[in-house]
Amino acid sequence: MLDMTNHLRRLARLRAGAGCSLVLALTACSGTDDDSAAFGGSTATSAGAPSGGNLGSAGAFNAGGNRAAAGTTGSSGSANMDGGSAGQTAQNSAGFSGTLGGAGPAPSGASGGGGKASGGAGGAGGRAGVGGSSAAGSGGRSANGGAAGASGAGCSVSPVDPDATQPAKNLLCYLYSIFGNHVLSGQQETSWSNPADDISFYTGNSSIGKAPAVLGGDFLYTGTGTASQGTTTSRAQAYWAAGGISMIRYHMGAPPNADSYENSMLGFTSTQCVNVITAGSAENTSFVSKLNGIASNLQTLQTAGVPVLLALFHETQPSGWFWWSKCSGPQFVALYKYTYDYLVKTKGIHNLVRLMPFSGSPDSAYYPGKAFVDVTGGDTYATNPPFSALYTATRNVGGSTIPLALHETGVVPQPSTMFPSTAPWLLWSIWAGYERSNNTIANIISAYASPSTITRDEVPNLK
Amino acid sequence: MMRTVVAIGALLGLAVLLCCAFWAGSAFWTGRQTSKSTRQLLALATSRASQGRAPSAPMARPPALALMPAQVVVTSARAPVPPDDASLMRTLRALGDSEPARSLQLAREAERRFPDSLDAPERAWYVCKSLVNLERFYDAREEARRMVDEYPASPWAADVARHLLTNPLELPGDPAP
Repeated sequence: MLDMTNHLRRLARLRAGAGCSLVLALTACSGTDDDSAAFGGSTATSAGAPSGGNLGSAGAFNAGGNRAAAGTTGSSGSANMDGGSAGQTAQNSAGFSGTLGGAGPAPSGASGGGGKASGGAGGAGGRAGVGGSSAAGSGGRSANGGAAGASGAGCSVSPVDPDATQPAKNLLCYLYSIFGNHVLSGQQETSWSNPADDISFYTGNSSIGKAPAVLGGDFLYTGTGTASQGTTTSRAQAYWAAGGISMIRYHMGAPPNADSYENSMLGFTSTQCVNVITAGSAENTSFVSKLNGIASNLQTLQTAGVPVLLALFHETQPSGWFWWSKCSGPQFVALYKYTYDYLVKTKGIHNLVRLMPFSGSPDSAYYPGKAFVDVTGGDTYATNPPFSALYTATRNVGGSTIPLALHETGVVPQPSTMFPSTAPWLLWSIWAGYERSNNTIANIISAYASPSTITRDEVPNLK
Repeated sequence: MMRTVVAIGALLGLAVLLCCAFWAGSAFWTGRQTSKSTRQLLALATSRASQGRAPSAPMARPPALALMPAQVVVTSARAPVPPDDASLMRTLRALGDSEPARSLQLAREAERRFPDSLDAPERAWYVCKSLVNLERFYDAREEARRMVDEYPASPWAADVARHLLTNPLELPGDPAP
């Protein structure tokens, strides 16, 4: 709680939003757990500063034909990422590095029509694909742009689960490929009452007219939802079929209590933190039962070919709101590992991209490490986006070689304030109902119109 | 001769003065000893008399104490100095989730004594969080509503709004207690 209070106190006193001039220097991505490796892309710090040495992996994702040509958002950009020809760097006239796109082989082997191009996006600097500079076209674990789509081998990153499904691999590669210069729009749905209402807010507004790229669900409400609206799982499946990405969290009731929102905030002692992963205890029996429940839903999604950005244990921090935050750092890490071990090894769930979701005060004692995490992030309900201080704090825990997501927030950040380096979040996800209560339409329209914002129709085919 | 007589007279006078002084000092010392013994006896009597009373019943002030010097009374009945605003906040922050009942009491006390403090929103947050930690969720919600009304622009209020005023506490279809 101390961290939380420090964070909130800081927010209260920095409401103007302290500017952050940090510059990401992401240079290469090996896809290993070695933090010395970085992404293939670089983020230019200013106009005319080429980032160089970047490659696109987006050839893997171009089947959807989204945002056709690199440089379309920059000035006379000429990004030329070629699937399979690693090491190439495109620059637009402003000197930005080129980015994704090109005509790499699509997952099906068909030629793509141009992936998500981002060369010089918004003048904020290009973003290369994954693993470009280190790849040099040599294949292997190193990336070469565009190859990932065929087999996944061409993407230099892979989920921590070595047996991850191809869609999960594709999703993670895609996340890496856009991280740093594009942001996925997202929306948590009101799972407990009217889940369809949140997305229809966007699609039903003619000035926005586009659905968020990421739909947030909650396994607490797995069994809820009207017949016409479906459950969290069926809605995730439908969203994927419509071209979107599914991110699911779980307000699990504190074992051995039943699931409900209030039970997710019950007290949890240090002894219970041990018991919950100790076979034979009441806490463990309950916990495993709950995991079996979500495993069943995840299995349904896996069978349907749907990858899930799974954000279990959200808002983790010392003395946070939810029971898992009552555990010490080492206890939490053990709980995290136990959970994914169980889902993956015991239940055979391999369609996961693991998002380690911190609160507003990321704490390294609670970070399982990159060997166990695919994506990390923070959340805040402050009203001064893009939350550069939180971005920096999250990066200080997760490192500079892992995508950072704003997995929960209340106000849509403007990409123009995020890039190139202030707070280049991987995604934002507006909490259920907050799109109406905490945002102006003008704010949302502006953010969705940004060339740096990816909406559902712009997500490439990741199947 | 005359000088001798004067000197003897002076010595006698001095001796008389010394005797008077000694007598006066003895009388004073004896009086103090008597007073101390009286207090001890009074305390013993009071202690025995109070054994049959309820702990919360106020004890009558022993009449003899009214005769004691004021300085002694003040010393024995000195009240603790209440903590200031900053001290209360430091204590609240240090407590974290460890003692929610005490945190709640301290936050309430701070609200009452320092209503205009710059830390008022944070204190209100502690009230909400302590109530949650005490599993008084519906009370926490009421506090959260009050807090959001009072500090609508505070990030502390935004935090409790997200955690206490968005999701239903129980599952849909479950009856609220």
